[in-house]
Amino acid sequence: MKTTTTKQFISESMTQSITNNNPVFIMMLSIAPVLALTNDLALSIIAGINVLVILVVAFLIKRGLLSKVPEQLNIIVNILLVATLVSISELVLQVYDLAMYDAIGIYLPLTAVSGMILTQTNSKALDKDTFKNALIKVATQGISFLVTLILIAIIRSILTTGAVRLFGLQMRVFDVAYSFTLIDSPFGAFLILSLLMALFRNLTNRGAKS
Amino acid sequence: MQNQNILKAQNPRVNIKNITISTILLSVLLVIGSLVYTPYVLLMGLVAIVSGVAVEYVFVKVRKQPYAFNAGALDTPLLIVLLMPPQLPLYMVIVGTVFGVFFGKMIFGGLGRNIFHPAMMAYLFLLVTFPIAVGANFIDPINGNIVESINLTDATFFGTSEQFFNLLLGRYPNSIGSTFVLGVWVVGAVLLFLRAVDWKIPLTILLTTALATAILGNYYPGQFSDGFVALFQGQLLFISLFVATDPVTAPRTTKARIYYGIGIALITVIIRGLANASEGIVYAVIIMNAVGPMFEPVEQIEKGE
Amino acid sequence: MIEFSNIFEMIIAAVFVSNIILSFYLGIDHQLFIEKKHTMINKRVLVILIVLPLSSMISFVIQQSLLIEIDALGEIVRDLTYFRTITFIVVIILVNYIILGLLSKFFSNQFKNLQNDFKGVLPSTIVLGSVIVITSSVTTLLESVLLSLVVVFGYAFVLNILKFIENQLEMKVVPKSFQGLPLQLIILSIMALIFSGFGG
Repeated sequence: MKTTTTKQFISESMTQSITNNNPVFIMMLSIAPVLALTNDLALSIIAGINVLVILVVAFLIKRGLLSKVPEQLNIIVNILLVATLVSISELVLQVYDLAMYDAIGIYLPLTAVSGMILTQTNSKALDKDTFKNALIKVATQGISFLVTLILIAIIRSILTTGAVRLFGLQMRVFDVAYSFTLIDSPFGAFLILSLLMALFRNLTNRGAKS
Repeated sequence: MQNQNILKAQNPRVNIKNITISTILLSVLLVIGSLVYTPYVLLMGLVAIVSGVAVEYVFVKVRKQPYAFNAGALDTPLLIVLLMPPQLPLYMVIVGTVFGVFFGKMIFGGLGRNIFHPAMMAYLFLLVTFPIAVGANFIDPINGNIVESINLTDATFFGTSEQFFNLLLGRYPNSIGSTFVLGVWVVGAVLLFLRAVDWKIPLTILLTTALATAILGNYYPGQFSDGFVALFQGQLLFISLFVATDPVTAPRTTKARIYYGIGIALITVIIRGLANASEGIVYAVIIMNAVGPMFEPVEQIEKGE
Repeated sequence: MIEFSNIFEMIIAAVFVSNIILSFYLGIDHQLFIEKKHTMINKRVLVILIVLPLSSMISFVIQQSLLIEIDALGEIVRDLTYFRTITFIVVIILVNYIILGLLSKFFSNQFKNLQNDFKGVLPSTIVLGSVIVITSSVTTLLESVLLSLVVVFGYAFVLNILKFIENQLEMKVVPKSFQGLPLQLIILSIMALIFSGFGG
């Protein structure tokens, strides 16, 4: 067995998570928040960070405190754990920026649901890994979700208004007169996600998974 | 010829002869349109055709398949242009055609495999994206003024036969293909005569529209126009003759086609009456495209396809 | 949220204008979308049909009685809404568990394979999302039940149309990268366009 250094493992995991196991394009998790939140770059970043933090913290807690949970209770424990973390994150966001909290609305808990699924699937797969490796795997999953969200949000933002807006900063790509509001609507959301998904599959040669 | 054989083997719904006839006649309508308005219309047609064919070509080449050029590639762009107002900016023509051909046709597998009519999809897309330029920017053929609405809502519209003849001869503003109503009639008649399209569909649509409008007009006099007038409103004639008859997107069996026609007519009448939107028929066709096959037994996929 | 002022508007809103899939993007569960047969899909929807109204009702009651309390002067006395997510999730899990248990006991031959759905229906965003949407759109208990029924109907409606359209396609000619979910998303995008235009 080839021994890999930590650095190699990190980069390997990272590329794996973003390309072959991309949670949005390949695993097709939490499509709802992706469609709803990629209107707005700020919201996408918040949601992505949310998932990342929840994944990592859930993992740490499970490994650290709850490692001796019997098999049957596993699901319940995961769900409750993630639910608690989600509620905490909701509170944090409410305090930090109420307007953003209202804008995210129902999708914040939903991003966490996908976190639940990931945690669930991770439970069995990661038991065998060392603490460090497992942590890296979990973290890269969260990061790839974040990166994917940001990517989609940027593309949609550019196609809608020709510029990328973030906390008051702006980067303009197209002319000011350019405006294609359809991309913001559900129609545009479905369309862009579909195109990106097809493109992504094409590029990573994962092909059809009907 | 070999191209056509490949197509035919793959695709029982596609009849190249009929498509070619339709395409030729549609071009005739386009030329008429350019006479009623300006030669710019021909440019629109050319640009649409080029974009449409380009999309198809690129799509097929990216998948590393041979490209079989056929009249079907011209059909959709021509229809799209004929549904547009006469001075639409070229970039809108291109965007609409690309959308229609890509998402309405190629994505589903190309000629003969699409569920929704690509021209209707392009039209809907353009209506939603550029509502003013596509929905409210018509030209009065006589004096060149810009007209916002092409609704013939005046109940006394057909008071004199002179007005009616004006309508026939293309003196009332409408989209490029629908202005010269007499032309639409003649071309439609030729198509029907040549059996290139099924007569039951336009007949059902027009009959149902007239009936429904008349009946509903009784109950809600303000919202619905006269039954006869309704037949000439907007693009109804054009669409029932050239779009709804498309064999790929319409059902196959006679019974289902009749329901298809009735459905289109009813939805159009309802949307027109309740929302006063002349785009009712576009929604109607797309909805019936999806729902139409419900009325007939599931078609068997042939071996080797 | 879903806005309405009478039952007719509620139906139009929940099925067309604010459809749970086409406007709220909920319920796009990958597994559900692979399923080819109408019967299997409708079975799963049936489960949701039972689970959702119950969960909505209970969640609504809990929300009104425990989480928020407004005294006679209209002032908020107790505001525990931050427990909303956990409470709803717990309610949904319990209802899910009970219902699935009952169903597999009494209708075991039909619902056998849904046992695994305990993991399936719950993570699917639709139940949690719908409960939150519904409880924030209604003002009475009866409304919560009615709205949840209509929402499920809207969901089933869109899903069945989607499957119907898909069944007419020959998947072999569709480009490989578009097969499956991307194509379904495109069909959904067209439906979204139509449904939202319809409401006008």
